[in-house]
Amino acid sequence: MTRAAELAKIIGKGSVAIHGEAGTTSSGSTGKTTNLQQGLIKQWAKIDGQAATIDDSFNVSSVSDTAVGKKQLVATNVMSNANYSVTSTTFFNSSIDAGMHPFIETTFSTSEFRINALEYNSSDAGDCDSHFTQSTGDLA
Amino acid sequence: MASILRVNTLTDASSNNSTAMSTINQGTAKAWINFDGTASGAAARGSFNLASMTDSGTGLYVCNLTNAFANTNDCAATSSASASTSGSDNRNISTTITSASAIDSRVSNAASGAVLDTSVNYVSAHGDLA
Repeated sequence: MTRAAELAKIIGKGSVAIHGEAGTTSSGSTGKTTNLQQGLIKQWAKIDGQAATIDDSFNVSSVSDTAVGKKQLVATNVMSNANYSVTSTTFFNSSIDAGMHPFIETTFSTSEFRINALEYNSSDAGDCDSHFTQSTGDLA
Repeated sequence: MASILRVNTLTDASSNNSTAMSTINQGTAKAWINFDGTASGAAARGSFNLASMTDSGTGLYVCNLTNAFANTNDCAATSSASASTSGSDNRNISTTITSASAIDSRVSNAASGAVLDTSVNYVSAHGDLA
């Protein structure tokens, strides 16, 4: 395979495994070969939880406010299946000075998922100041 | 046939979005898991760099890695649990890397603190592999 062909696959979104060479991928690396394609973050976003707007993001086309404390994100390029990993964290709700914790709703698909926030020590949903989220998995 | 690209920087065709290989290496997740904590033994639905899972008790799970990290200090794990908005499903998950090859998670009710099994859990880990 030519370098051009390999680079095309790096840039493309196919499920091609790209393996780094020991000791050459990073000055901070100890050289263990990993799988670049699997490890690449496929989506990340910083969401304003009060305004339900995207502060900055990668591979997110829109966000909507579905209810208090609930934000639905829609991906630009969808995942190949719904078994990807989504992690999220929240910054507190400054309007009521309440600590918040995140969770992901079980209703997710290859193109969208919901990141929610609840107040600690209660079951009350709330709009946090910021949501931070990232996804890993296989793109379609 | 396996081949090796020896480059210091990747850019797009217009020489924009230049990224050093060190950034790509450090910025790439070394493991991710989507698992069912209610299944017998805890079961991964999707994963990368996962050898097996251990169900250590109610709400307690261990993700055993295929390729270990260099140590327990130069790595970080993030996690999220899935639930509805009802009070009884108010899940909170905490995660730590207890050994170079194991990520431990604990899921509890955020209000009561009681551990409980949860259907959908997510873990992602970054750092230097051994």
